[in-house]
Amino acid sequence: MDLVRYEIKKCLRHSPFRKVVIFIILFHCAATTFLLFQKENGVSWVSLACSSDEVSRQFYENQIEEAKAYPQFVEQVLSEDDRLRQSTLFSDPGSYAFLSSERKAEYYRKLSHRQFQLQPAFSLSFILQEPVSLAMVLIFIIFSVYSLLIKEKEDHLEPLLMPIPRYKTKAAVHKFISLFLMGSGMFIFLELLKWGISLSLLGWKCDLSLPIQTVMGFLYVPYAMSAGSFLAVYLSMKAFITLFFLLFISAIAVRLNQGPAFYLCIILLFGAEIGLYNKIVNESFLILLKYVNLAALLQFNQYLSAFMSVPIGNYPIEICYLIILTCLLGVVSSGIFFRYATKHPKPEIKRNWKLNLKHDFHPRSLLNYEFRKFWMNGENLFVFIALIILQSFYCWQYSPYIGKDEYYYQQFSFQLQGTLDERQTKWVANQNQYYAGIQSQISKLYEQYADKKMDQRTLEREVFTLTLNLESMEGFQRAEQQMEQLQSLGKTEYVYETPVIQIFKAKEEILLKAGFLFLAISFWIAAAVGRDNALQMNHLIRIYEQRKHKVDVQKRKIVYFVSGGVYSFLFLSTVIVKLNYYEANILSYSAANVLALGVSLPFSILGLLFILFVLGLGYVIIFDEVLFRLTSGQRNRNSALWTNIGLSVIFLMILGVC
Amino acid sequence: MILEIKELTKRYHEKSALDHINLTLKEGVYGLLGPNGAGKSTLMNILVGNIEKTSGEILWNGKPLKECRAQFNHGLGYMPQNQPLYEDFTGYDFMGYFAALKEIPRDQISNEIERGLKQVFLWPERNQRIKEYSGGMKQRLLLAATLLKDPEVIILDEPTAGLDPMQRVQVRKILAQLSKAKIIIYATHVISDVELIANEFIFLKQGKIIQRGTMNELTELFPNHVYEITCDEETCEKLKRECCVTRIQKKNEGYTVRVITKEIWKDYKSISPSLEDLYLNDFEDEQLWI
Repeated sequence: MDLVRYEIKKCLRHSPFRKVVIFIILFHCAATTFLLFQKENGVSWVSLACSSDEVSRQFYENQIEEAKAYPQFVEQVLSEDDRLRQSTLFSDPGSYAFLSSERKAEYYRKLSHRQFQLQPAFSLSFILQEPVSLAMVLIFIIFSVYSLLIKEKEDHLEPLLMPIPRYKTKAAVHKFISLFLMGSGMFIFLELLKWGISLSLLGWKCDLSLPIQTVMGFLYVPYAMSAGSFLAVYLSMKAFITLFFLLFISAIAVRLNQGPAFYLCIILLFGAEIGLYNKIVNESFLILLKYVNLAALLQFNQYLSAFMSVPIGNYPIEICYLIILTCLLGVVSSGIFFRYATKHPKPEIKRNWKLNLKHDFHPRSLLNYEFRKFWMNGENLFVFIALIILQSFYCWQYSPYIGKDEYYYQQFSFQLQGTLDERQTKWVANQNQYYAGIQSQISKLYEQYADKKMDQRTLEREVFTLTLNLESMEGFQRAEQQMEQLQSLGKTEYVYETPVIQIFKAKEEILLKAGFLFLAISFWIAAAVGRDNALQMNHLIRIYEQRKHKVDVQKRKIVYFVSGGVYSFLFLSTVIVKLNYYEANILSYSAANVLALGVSLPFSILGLLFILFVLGLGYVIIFDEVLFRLTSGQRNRNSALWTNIGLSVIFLMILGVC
Repeated sequence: MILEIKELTKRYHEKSALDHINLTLKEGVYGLLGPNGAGKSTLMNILVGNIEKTSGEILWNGKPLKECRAQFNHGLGYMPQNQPLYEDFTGYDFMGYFAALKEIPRDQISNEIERGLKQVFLWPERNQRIKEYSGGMKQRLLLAATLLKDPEVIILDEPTAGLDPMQRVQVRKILAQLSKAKIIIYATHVISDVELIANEFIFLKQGKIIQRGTMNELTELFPNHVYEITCDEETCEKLKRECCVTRIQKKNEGYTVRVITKEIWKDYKSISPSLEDLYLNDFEDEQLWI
């Protein structure tokens, strides 16, 4: 245990680690308090616990009413499942649908005929639903793993330590025990902190021997267990997931030699997992991947409160069991890999990708050397290429769902777009006449049927054929309304507005792309600033600079150039792809009409796009500048990186609010 | 060309790293000697502008250094100790980068780099990446970069660390050649490196100058205190306990022991002290492990 003590000491003596621990504790307190006071539909946990307003009282009474109607809910679930199992879709007793329905019924049968009276256990309800502490433990584990497994490699201490037999054979075990102890400590501490905050603000009014269904938010839990047992299951699962994260992240770290590469790997992995989790729809055959996923593990508490199953072949497996299985397999496989990798350490490969090009030995400008320094770091190039590939993939795959009405609206808009004059009015009148004609034909058919001049089958066939011609009517009416609205506003030209809305109002998409760009810039600036500082080359540079901060100016130019270039690529490719998709060619008819700038349409549209482009570019450059100024004093590249990521989040929030 | 340091003091909280230092440096090589923590690096870092002084004054050709820092740095070459380099640059690129930093005119850069790399015998390896260089090669490359643009003031912190004996001699030769019209401040622990080329030696201890002068001036202050005695093992052990023993050689007739004494031993014939003797005498209390 003596070495475990030193391993823990290594972490605790590492100043950035201590800062991270303080940040985690403060953030956890702030986030928990925020969640307790945050109002959703006018109700917050605190207002609910205090019954301080009418809305909260009403909300709680509704919950009590819902609990009273519980037996009916169970009966409904059971009868609906019975009915479903008799339908053709569920006819095969070996099919997933049938088995899943049976399993669900089996659970609820245990709960049928039971009446639950809601107890005001708000603190327990909050504790079981709160998502922050697991994420905070995960962040703590990431930093602990870095401090114990990667920092030694960064500091080139391994060559010194590896020849010592005890270190070689036992270091991995000691490090893992230290990580386990620190992770468990932080887990327990954050849990206690959360319990302390929630109990003090919400009060402890809970009977743990009552069924879990008596706790608000857990009425539909398909297990017959007490609140105490449920809490034990919840905490065990959370601890198990934490153990999985610990082993999984350790297994990743054991093969990496640099902090930024490790963080980048973790960010990309979680990014991909969250992307996968959000993109896979419930009907997809990849549904299993949606839940065998780190993002699903992070919100495991959602899957404890309702019956949800996914198929493994035809066998239905509940998501909470799937999560346990995933963790179990993950713990075993990560553990095996961790053990193997630490027993067979991989020496740091000094890659030398030197091309055998003839060197001309011409001295170059300072900007050129700084540019080479910028790309010397492999991660910078990786982030750059990853971003370009991601955007290219998006452009290639861009295909939003266009409904029938949107399609017809688009087609009619193509007919109507242009200067508003007699042409459109006549065209709309003709089209209305066309629809009126069809409607009158349908009326006549019904009249003939009423007069018994036609049988029902003929009527249905004829009406169906004619109704098909009316399918476009809703799209036409939307286009007509748009035209009338423009005329009433005194506008002179018709606008097909969907592409413009798609470009300028896709807030989530803009935030996502800005997030990617800001993350990339965070890496670039951390590398540009942190590298010289870490090498202590900044001191030499300062001495030799003939003009003050000459090198910083060059670095700024490079970061502005690269980030501005990537931003331009993201902006222009998105605009072109969307306009092209909606066939809004040459930007001919668009928002300019709304702006009514009094210049020709293409110019005003381009002007609008240009203004938005410049505003975005300005925001990116302000972001670059703020990051540069705040990180220029950082000696440690990892600290610079995390400062930058923190600032990125703030800039994203500002963008979101704007 | 004159660099004057007056009452220079640097404090870190309560601890004095430099305590009222006074120096006047003209053209020549100055050996800056002292144990770890004596204040050598602090002095050099204040001179190059990396850290701020607490009090005192530094004058460059009669002007306060603060007023002519840019001009001073324009003619400065500084080689720090254990300086990591850009591992992915080639030796030529690294020199090119420093040439760009020092704003050497473009038409002269190639010649300057070639001259510098040849001077430190790295011209054949100019196309190799620095990560492929040995420790000694990196040290020589940094020296070559320091000497680019023919600086007037050269500040070197352990420039021969990691070099083999041949390379040490070569560095000494280069510096001896350069010393005519320059101020070279050479900080080292290896006394033999600086003994032959320095015009003047400055001994720093706990932030204070305890000795300063040429080799002759310093040895004149220290007559009849160094002895070389041939004795048996028992006497040798006794001397080791009671005096500052700087060298022991086992010979057939017993042991030859070089001893520095506080008092004059009339029974023995004294020998002329070396710089090493002076150093060990001055820093005897810090060399207890001998």
